[in-house]
Amino acid sequence: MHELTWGMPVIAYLFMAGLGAGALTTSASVLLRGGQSGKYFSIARYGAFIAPIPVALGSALLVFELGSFQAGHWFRFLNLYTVINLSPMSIGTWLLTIFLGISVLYAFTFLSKDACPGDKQDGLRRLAAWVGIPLGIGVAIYTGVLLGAMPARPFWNSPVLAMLFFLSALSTGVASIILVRALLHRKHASAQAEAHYHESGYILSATDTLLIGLELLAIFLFLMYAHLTIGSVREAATVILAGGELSVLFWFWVVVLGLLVPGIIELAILVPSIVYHRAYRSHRVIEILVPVVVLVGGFMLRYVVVIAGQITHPIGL
Amino acid sequence: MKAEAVKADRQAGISRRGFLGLCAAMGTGAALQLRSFKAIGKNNDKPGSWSRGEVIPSTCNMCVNRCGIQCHVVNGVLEKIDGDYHNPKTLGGTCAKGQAGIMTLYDPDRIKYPLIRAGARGEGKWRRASWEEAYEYVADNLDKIMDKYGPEGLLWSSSTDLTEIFFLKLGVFLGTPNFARHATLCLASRNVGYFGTMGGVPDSDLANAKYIIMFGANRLESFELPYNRDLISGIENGAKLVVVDPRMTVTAAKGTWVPIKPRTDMALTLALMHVLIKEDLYDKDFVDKLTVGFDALKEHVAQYSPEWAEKETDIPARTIVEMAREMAVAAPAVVVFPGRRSSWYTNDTQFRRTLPMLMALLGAFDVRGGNFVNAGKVKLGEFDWEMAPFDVAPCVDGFDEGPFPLAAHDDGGYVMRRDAIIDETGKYPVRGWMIYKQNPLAAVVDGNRTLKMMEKMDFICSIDVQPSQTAWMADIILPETTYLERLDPIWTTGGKVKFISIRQPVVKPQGEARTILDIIKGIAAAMDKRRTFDPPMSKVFDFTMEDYVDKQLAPLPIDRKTLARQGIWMPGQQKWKLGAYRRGEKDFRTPSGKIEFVSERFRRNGYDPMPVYEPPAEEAGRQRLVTGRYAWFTHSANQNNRWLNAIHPENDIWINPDVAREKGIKDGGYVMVRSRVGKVKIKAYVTPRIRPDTVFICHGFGTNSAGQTTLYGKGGADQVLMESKADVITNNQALHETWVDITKV
Amino acid sequence: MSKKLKTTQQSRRGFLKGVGAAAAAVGASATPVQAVAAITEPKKRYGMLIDTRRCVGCHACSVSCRSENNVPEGKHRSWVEYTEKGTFPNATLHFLPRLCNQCSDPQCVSVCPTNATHIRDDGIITVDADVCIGCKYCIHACPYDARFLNPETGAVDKCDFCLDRLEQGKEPACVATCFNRARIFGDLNDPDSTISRMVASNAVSVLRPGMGTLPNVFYIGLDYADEHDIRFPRQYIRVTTHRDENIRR
Ligand SMILES: Nc1nc2c(c(=O)[nH]1)N[C@H]1C(S)=C(S)[C@@H](COP(=O)(O)OP(=O)(O)OC[C@H]3O[C@@H](n4cnc5c(=O)[nH]c(N)nc54)[C@H](O)[C@@H]3O)O[C@H]1N2
Ligand SMILES: Nc1nc2c(c(=O)[nH]1)N[C@H]1C(S)=C(S)[C@@H](COP(=O)(O)OP(=O)(O)OC[C@H]3O[C@@H](n4cnc5c(=O)[nH]c(N)nc54)[C@H](O)[C@@H]3O)O[C@H]1N2
Ligand code: SF4
Ligand code: SF4
Ligand code: SF4
Ligand code: SF4
Ligand code: SF4
Ligand SMILES: [Mo]
Repeated sequence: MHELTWGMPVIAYLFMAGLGAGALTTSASVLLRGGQSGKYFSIARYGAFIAPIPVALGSALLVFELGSFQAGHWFRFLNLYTVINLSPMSIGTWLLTIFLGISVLYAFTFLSKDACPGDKQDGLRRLAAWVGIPLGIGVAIYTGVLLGAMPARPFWNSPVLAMLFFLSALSTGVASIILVRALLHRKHASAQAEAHYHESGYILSATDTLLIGLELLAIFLFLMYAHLTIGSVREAATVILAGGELSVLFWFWVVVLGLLVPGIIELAILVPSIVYHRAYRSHRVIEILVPVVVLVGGFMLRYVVVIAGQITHPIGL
Repeated sequence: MKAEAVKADRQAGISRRGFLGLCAAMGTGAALQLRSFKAIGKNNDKPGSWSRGEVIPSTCNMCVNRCGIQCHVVNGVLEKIDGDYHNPKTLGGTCAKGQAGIMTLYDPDRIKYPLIRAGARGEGKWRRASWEEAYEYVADNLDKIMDKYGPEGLLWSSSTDLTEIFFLKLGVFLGTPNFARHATLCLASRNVGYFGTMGGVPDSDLANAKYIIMFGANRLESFELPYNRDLISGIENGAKLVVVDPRMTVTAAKGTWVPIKPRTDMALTLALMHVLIKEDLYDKDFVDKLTVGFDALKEHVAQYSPEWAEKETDIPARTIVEMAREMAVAAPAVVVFPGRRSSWYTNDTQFRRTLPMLMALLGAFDVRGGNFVNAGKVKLGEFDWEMAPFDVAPCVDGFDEGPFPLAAHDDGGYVMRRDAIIDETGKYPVRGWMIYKQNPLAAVVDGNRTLKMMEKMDFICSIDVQPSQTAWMADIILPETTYLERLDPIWTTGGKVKFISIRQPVVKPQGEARTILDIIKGIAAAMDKRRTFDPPMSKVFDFTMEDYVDKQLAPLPIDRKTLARQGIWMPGQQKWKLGAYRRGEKDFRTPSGKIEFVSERFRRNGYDPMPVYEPPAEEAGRQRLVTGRYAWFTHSANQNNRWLNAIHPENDIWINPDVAREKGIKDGGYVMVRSRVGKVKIKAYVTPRIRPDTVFICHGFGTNSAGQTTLYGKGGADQVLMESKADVITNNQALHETWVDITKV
Repeated sequence: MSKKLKTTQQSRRGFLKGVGAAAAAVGASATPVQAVAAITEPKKRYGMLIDTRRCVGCHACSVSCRSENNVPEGKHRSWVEYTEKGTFPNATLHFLPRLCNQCSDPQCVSVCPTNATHIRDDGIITVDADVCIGCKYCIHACPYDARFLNPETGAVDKCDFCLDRLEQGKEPACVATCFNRARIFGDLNDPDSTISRMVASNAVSVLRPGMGTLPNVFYIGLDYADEHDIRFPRQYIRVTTHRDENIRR
């Protein structure tokens, strides 16, 4: 069995980088989608403030976990910036660094108390958003590619993994916005503002539900792919199947708790609006609970995948 | 200690390396990467500037093989041991133990100062003493015992080594007759069996053999140079290797494994002779010319048919017949390997006798690919001891007076001697024990009984390099320098090539460790203060090791300095030639001058003149315990060496899967092993590589010495389980005569 | 067999390249001396051949490596696996000494974000300990578990064919130490080297050829068991290494 050389910090980092990337991507896209009307401005604002924080924290964690840092060579990690090569980690490092810059800049445009659509910062904000979307997608995908690039780790070595991580990143990003929004939410004075709050909540939940559905699909594809090949990948996948070392963690925490539970709840709330065109309304408890389980599930997904990749290895001569 | 020194050196090396790296980088200015200067400055690509410092040739002492080594010393720190390419025995190789000599030298558990017991025996409380105090302490105690019981009240025990002579001489000059040496733990029965049959133990031309049969000898793990390498080459050259052993050793894995029922080897050898004679496959010419007693043998082995042997040995009769025929086809290029450790059974001397007999029937002696007698060693100068041995009392157990007429009396018999001392059945009491480079508490059957003997002792002194099990129970431990810190007497060896080699200090001693000669001198001087010897003891030992070595080298055209530079020396003329015996130019050193199928000497001394088989006792439901070693451990000496311990931190008991299933024992789970004399808790190793009626434990674990911090608390001691049995002809201890019960814990 | 073909092809290609380069150099009016150098000193490709028939699993190589390269306790550049199969009395025991394969297409190099891990001209893969940040990415990328983080340097470490010794014209420590001469080291691009001749004249194999890493460590008489064999219920198989107490695969 391989030593577990990538532990909690790396797991946390993958989760947090994904979350931040997801938050920025969501924020920027709703901002741009809202157009000049600034329909989803408040959502964008939450996302903008959230995005850089987990990414910065995660990156710091990662640096702390570097062997060089632990051996007392505090600044050796800067060697990452002396090279550009085709290593996913090298690409990721540069992406992440630019991402941090852009996301801070983007958040800055929202900083002013009376920031609003069409204000002085609007141009810059939109520019940052335009750049931020591909960057966010890049960072989100890269967390999956980082793991997926190695035939030596059959569990990770699946093209579906990048996709899964990308979806999960977006989903946790959205969830984080829902959560923060709900936590900071106070009853609005006007009914109109209240309605607006719920209306914009609708798009978040709908997006989230869609992402959850896609994630389930990706997991299905992942297993299908593993099942249909022979050899290492298939052997490796058995750790999350019934009887495998990580099967409970995976099926309960990731699939049931992290995907099915929030998916079903959200669907139950969404269905009336979609089918009967009722006004969308959600409870605060649910608005807090659902994103929390989504986040927990997202974290557990990283956990299971990172561990599974390390305890499985190629088979055969 | 080493690590720090190494680090410092590496750092020094790095900056030098850095400079070169920088030059290289500037030279290839087209480098595409944006490397910081710092990074380029420490490019690992140019490590050539790091040199290993001084290289000193010497001779390994991690086991008894004495391989040639080259020691790389940097700033007084031994960094690396390499094999010596010039050494014909090893050709530049070493084993894992040889590599780990560094860790024996720098072992944090090493004893660096004389230690005098400060608590109860074995409690582990020690007081550091100066050497002066230590010498006085030892002399005081020896003097007291000699006053009360005479010098024969002392037991003097040591294992074979180049330096053993000085320790032995002190005992001899003090006047004790009671020695207990290595042979009686190891190979006395093989020696007597071979001497009684053909006058000596022959070498084996393994590299050129066509058929090699080994009885239990585990040459590929229990190293004997150059046999292990030659064996591999022999196999590569197409030899058939047959290994008769109740467990599949590495040696057996490289050949055909014949999983014999333990203690029945003689049935197999007799049956092989039976087939060779019955099918007329033996070498008549050889038998006529070079043996006596063939007709008697023919008659004797007629009763030992393969069918009969099948029942005894568990080897199919067909296999036995095939073996005999294959041997006959390969003859005379057949090696019947004499083996080394024969401390197996109570009938070992007689079993060993059958091996040269089998060899003789095949005519497999004094020919290429067979057994041979080497051309002798290089003749070294004799050291003249000033004090001549004088009349001494008979041994405590009367060993020299009757019970073992064929045994080498100077070596003593450990088991008998111990009984005489504990049970006070000897001629007189023995109350003092001097121990040098031996770990009897581990090495002798029935460890608890050895502890009993210790209780009888007023004084125990152990001269060791580490807190061995025995040293831990002593009253004083005198730390000797390791082989890497001292000059030893010159070693000379024969075989296909004869040469001499030097063991010399490659680093300064750790702490206050001293050489055995210095220790003996110290004790001698302190004894002179208490007693009169003629000449005075300090005068007898008034020479340096350099003097001793110079005396040894005097007849040779090489001096100490030159030898120190080149490590070994070979005479230009090597006399390894075959055929002298066959041509009748040389006689066997037996009474008849021939190989004796029938030994009158044995008959005269009351033994069977021809080996007679007696079936072993069976104990249903129990397993026979056998022992041995792994390639990276020497007896009990280096299980505490961190590098070697890391290979195998804890020993285990080999159990056949069927037995394990029956007893509900899981691989890796713990079991309790009980014999009539002891019990041991140990991990189970469930493997198809052992017979169901046999279990195996690798020797050397289960230490009682908390001073061995790496080893303490790991594994189980095999000797604690073993009953006090010994070979009837030599009193060589018998390590495989014990049946054990195994239960899951 | 296919491996053998490959080797000769590669070396021929290497040779042609050398000639081509020389020709180009002459064309560019370089001095003839340089041209000669280019022809007579083709690129080296160091490799090792381990004859498992001669190996007795004695661990001398592992300990020698530890001593030579100051490998910290509990970490291994070189280790030996024991493979036990069968039932009594038809059991077998094989030995598999392991080290970095110095792959020609090494994934450890492709994933390294700092280029600390790189291929030298002579084919040896080394880690520049002063550049490596210890991200451990390469540890995962190596299909042979050949790498470890050296806690003393904070950098990843692995077998480098004993560069220090090579530069002084000495064989790698494990090769020199092996009593039984089970390990042969040399230049695979030199058709007259012992290793090239041995590789050409024996049935050799490499570990996990399917990984596409093109190892330069070859084995004769390789008997390797993997997870799959161990799960195969009809036969007893156990692989023991002393590399890590947890490794029993
Ligand atoms: N159960 C069991 N018993 C056995 C055996 C077995 O396989 N199993 N094997 C038997 C055989 S074949 C033999 S030969 C004997 C060997 O038995 P011993 O000769 O007692 O050999 P070791 O057990 O190696 O103990 C040697 C001691 O010498 C110490 N020593 C090492 N180097 C030096 C040195 O340079 N100077 C000094 N002063 N001390 C040193 C070591 O630390 C160790 O304590 O054991 C026999 N006993
Ligand atoms: N690595 C290493 N090498 C050494 C030593 C060391 O300590 N370590 N010590 C050296 C010394 S002093 C010695 S004496 C030699 C010892 O070397 P060997 O003479 O080869 O003795 P052992 O290694 O003890 O192996 C004894 C074998 O006999 C088998 N055996 C037990 N009972 C029977 C039986 O009834 N019949 C048969 N046919 N076989 C049986 C055991 O299973 C075991 O494999 O090794 C020398 N070389
Ligand atoms: S066999 Fe090993 S321990 Fe024994 S002398 Fe040779 S190198 Fe040293
Ligand atoms: S030193 Fe040689 S024989 Fe021993 S394990 Fe290593 S390769 Fe095998
Ligand atoms: S064996 Fe592993 S570490 Fe060595 S070169 Fe190949 S991929 Fe890299
Ligand atoms: S640990 Fe070092 S050598 Fe390995 S990928 Fe990271 S930087 Fe490169
Ligand atoms: S070549 Fe050197 S570094 Fe590599 S395994 Fe052998 S001794 Fe260790
Ligand atoms: Mo021995």
